[in-house]
Amino acid sequence: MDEFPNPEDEYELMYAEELEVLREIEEAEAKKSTTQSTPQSEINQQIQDQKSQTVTTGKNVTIDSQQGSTQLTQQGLTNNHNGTKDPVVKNLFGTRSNGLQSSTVVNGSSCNASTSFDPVVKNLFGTKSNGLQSTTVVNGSSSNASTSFDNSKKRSINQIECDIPSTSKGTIDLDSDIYGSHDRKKPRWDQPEEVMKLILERRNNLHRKESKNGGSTSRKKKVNSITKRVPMHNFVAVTRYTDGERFYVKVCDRSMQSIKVDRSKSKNLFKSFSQLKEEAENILEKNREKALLKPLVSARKENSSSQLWVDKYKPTRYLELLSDESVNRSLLYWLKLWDKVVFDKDTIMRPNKPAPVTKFKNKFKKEDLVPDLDKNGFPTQRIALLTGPPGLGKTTLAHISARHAGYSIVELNASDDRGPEAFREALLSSTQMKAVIDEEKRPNCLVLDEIDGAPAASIELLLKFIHGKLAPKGKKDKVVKNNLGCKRPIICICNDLYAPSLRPLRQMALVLNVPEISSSNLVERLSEIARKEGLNINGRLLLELVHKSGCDIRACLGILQYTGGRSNMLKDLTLGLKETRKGLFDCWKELMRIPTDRRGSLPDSERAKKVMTIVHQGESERLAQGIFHNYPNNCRTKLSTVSKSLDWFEYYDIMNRAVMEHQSWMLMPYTNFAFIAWHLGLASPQMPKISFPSTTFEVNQKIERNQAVLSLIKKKSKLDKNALVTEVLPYLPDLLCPQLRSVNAQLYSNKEKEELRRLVDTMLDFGLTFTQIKKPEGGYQYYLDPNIWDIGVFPQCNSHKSLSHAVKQIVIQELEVTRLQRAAIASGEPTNQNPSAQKSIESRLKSGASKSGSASQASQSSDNVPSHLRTLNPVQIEPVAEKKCRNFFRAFQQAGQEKLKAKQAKEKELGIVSSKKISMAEQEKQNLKDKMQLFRTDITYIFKEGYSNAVRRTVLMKDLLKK
Amino acid sequence: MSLWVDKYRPKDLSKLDYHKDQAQRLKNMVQQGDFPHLLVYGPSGAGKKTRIMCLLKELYGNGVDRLRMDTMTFESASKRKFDISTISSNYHIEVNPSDAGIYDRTVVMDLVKTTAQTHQIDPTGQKEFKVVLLTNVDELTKDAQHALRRTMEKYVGTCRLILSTNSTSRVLPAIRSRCLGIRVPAPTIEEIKTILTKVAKKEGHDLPNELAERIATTSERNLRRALLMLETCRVEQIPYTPDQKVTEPDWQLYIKGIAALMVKEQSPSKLLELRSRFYELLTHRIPSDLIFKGMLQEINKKCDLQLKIQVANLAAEYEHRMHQGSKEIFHLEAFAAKFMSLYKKFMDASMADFM
Repeated sequence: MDEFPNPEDEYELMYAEELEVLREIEEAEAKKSTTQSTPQSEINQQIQDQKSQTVTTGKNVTIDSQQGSTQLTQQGLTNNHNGTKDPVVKNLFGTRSNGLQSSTVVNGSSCNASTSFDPVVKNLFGTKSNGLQSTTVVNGSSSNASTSFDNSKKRSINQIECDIPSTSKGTIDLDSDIYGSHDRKKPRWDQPEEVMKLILERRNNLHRKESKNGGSTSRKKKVNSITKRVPMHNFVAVTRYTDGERFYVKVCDRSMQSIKVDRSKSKNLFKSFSQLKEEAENILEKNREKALLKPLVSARKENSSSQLWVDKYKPTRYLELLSDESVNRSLLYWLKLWDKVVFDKDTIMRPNKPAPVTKFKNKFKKEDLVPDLDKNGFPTQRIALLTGPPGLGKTTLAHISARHAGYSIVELNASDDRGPEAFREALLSSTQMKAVIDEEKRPNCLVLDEIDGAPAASIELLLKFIHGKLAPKGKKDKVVKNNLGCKRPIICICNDLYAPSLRPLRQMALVLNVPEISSSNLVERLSEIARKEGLNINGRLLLELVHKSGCDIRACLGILQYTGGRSNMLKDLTLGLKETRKGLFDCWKELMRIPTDRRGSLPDSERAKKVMTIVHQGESERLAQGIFHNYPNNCRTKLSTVSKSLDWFEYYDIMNRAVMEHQSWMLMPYTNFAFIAWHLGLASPQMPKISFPSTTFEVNQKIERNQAVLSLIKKKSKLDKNALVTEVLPYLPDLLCPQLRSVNAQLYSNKEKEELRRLVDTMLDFGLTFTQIKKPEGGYQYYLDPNIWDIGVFPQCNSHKSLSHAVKQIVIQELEVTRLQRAAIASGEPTNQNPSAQKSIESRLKSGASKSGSASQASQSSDNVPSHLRTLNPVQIEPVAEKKCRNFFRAFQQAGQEKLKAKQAKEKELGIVSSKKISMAEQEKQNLKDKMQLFRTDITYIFKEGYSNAVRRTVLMKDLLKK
Repeated sequence: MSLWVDKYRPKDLSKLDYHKDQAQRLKNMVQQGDFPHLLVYGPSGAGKKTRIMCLLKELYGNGVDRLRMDTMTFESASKRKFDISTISSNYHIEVNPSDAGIYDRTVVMDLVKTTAQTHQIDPTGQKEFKVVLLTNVDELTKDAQHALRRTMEKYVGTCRLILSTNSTSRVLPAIRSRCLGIRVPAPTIEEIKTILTKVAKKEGHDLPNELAERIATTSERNLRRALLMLETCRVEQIPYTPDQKVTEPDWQLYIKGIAALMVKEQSPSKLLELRSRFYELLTHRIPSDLIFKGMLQEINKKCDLQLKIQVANLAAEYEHRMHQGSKEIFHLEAFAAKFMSLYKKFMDASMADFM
């Protein structure tokens, strides 16, 4: 990773001078120590044995080895240690012999081992003869360690713990605790249950510690860091001068504090031992006092500061998270999977052993969501989506996990502009760049909060971006494969997983459902906060609060803060929270059911109150619909009460109309009283069966469709709607079914022809036609379009006939012809007048009888002549052909005319004066000549059935119909 | 127009078949050259529209026959746009403002204003006013009717209104007083019979007297319906026979079915069946007051006198409320439930007496 310079080099550069000084002093120390070595080491040994009562050295070694593998080995610090180890530990032992608080010193030394280049610590050990280490010094040294790690961007478990800024109180104890926990943390990702158990245990310890406020006992554990066997982790080897026995001091790090502070403090470490001890004791005393004072101080602060408790008591470390451990771990694991891409560090893969996996699945179903890496080293799911109801700490979880995994967080939430453009900008800037002004140069992790509110376009953009399909602006990455997509983890947070805009994201993302936290945990945390804030509130009340809010941490804290924990306030509090999540169905059920308690059904006043709270949520329109829809199936009351309740529906309707018509919203609240009446009248003691009121919707759709049909017909017939519905349309289906045989139209008798004509005319008057619709079982059927049957005909009433399929086909044919004729008439053709058009149909219907030379007739009569005998008689077609030819060869004519014109122009040029009339006459003559020439040539025009591109011209209908 | 109703519709005031003296009066009025706003009322199928068209023809000549359909777009106060289809000639415009529902006020105001504000360019040989024909005025909301009051007076110089309605009961008195009321009563059975015979004769059929009588009675003195029935009979069977089946419209049979259901059994679960039937009627766009009317007529046939009064009262009450509200189904069902509970109580009481 070029972004992060080699820690070793950097370190040496930074501390070159100090290193030199260090070395000099060490040499001096070495000389000194040789003189007193033997007795000291023996004492040391004894002390050490005493201190490591709880944990045996052997155990230590194994555990350490585990840790070491992941910890600091890659840092290359050991080389540096090698140069310094002997004298340092020597000194340390020397200190012990002076009879000091050994645990503290050991702790200090262990820290020192990792950070031994630091002049401060250097100095400290330089004065080992004075030998006292105060807690602050330990702190200082450890902070050094952590800063150095920060620079190197390596994250061991220890360091992660340290990363999270701890509260000032009880730092050492907590650290030591955590340290201890990781000592034992042999089971890693492959044994999640154990890890979880451990974490939970630690968490409990943490709470206990905090409440205890003391904790000097825990210090003893620090002896663990010195072992006799070679540990697997980072260590500093120490040889005792007397017997040559080697000890191994573990290298570890501690919480952070700024280096400068340490320096200033360490400056005056060259003091006598007694002085230092006194100081240290003073400091310890002060710390203790501070810890005692704390609740009081914060309680005082609370009044003045406007900070919300929610923010104030936000978890700051991974261990403090309240949310479900499995979810926390899944998210963290997912984040760690990015290590390969982001930090170029091998991720700790979960071993693919089948046994643990199955075990795992049994216990934690959610865990099997956790993905592995794909071939490019990316996690298979490149985005994590946290979902869950509000107030469970999703945002907090995302923030803390990301920090824990070594990222700095860029948050984008609903308050930011999330239009596609702004979104793109934010995405690119946050994932392809990094903060340079910031002290700690962490890579970014994008947290998209409240993503369910983002526009769909933005989410599409996000998906594109993740897969590298978004064309990047600016310079490209140096990595060989350019378009691997986003190289930073993105965590999305939403409340509603099933928001339509999230659909594409849902498929791509690692969906982690944050479940409700256990109420006992929450109560515990709340009571702790209450104690800190100086509230006097009992657990029962808190439990009630937690239940009321539905385990919403945010809501609980908010209520606690603003009610000040007064019990009466809490009782009056009607939290709308739980109710708002109630679905429509639950509301309907509640409205349709008589509520009961132990003594039987509630009094009416209670019921009315309940109803009002339900109705006040809004959606009263839907609620009313639901009641109306569902009451007949559920109510067991008398008809008279039903009718009374229905009167209330009328009332509701009238009120609603008044509201909508005059926009007088002040009437709106009065509609709610109807719900009480319905509830009292229609509710039944049984659990009601509720179905969704879909009929209203269906009916509305039908009405709309029929309305459209009506307005279509009205447009054609120009009749009033009411008259249409009540009088014309009921009879129209019958009128449209004359008795017609399903034979060829030519075979119809005159009477039938008359019927057909009438039918066609009527249909045209009303703008009706038959359309062919494919039936689901196959085959086609003709339906009236617009379908007046929908309006005019009712089920189980008069029987209505329908035309047969064949007849319908004839009707359609006839309909088209008539329509074209009418269109021709309407377009104002002078040749075709109304009666003649009608005549033409009749004449056409008398197919065989009428014979004329018109083309249309010819085609009609062709039924009688076998098609292979059909030829065009040149003599017969001549008049028609003349017409056609003239039109067809108009181009030629025009060419001829142009020629003529050109001739005339020439003549004009030549100065021959000719009158217009003459030229016109000439032109006509010319035309005729051309025509005659055309006919004289042996052009025959054979009509070939089928489609051809060769000859095309527009033929008007009137040409065909004209006699 | 090929339906007999349209085919034999008189086009001239002098050719009207009945109420001839009224036709004569109208003719006289038009010949005077001017007339006030008209309010034409009468049951449907009595010939209101025919009369109005004849009047317009008398007024403007043949140009009135050239009708065209237009769609006008209006915008309500709440910026909601909607379309209304109009039928118009050069001289008049016909609108059914109740198509716009609760926005009819906008239609009335805008339409009358736009029509009235344009003067005839060439007044010579033509009337100097146009005619706005508003149909179904009784379905207008109160607001719209109030809006009409002022415009009627203001634009009387350039525009005459002809309002057509079934009943004046829902027309504001203020409007009534501004119009000349013309009542078009339904034709008598005899008049219908003669018209039917005449039409049949013109079509070349012989209509038996009994059939004519039956058609006339079944049509409830609605001439349009009678003619449609006659034509339907012709489609079914020709030549006419005296005992031929005369079909009632489906929706009436359907309402009869509903009434029978209500009388047959009274229970909340029956309401569900009734509801689906009401929905059926409503989706077929049958006007809900006709549903009420049909139900009442049928129920009355099956009730005691005492009950009849109560039911009639109820029906009136519920129908009134229905016009105040907007969701017909609530009111129909409420009426059904009310009637059923009443009927049940009545039956139980009479049964108790009987026992």
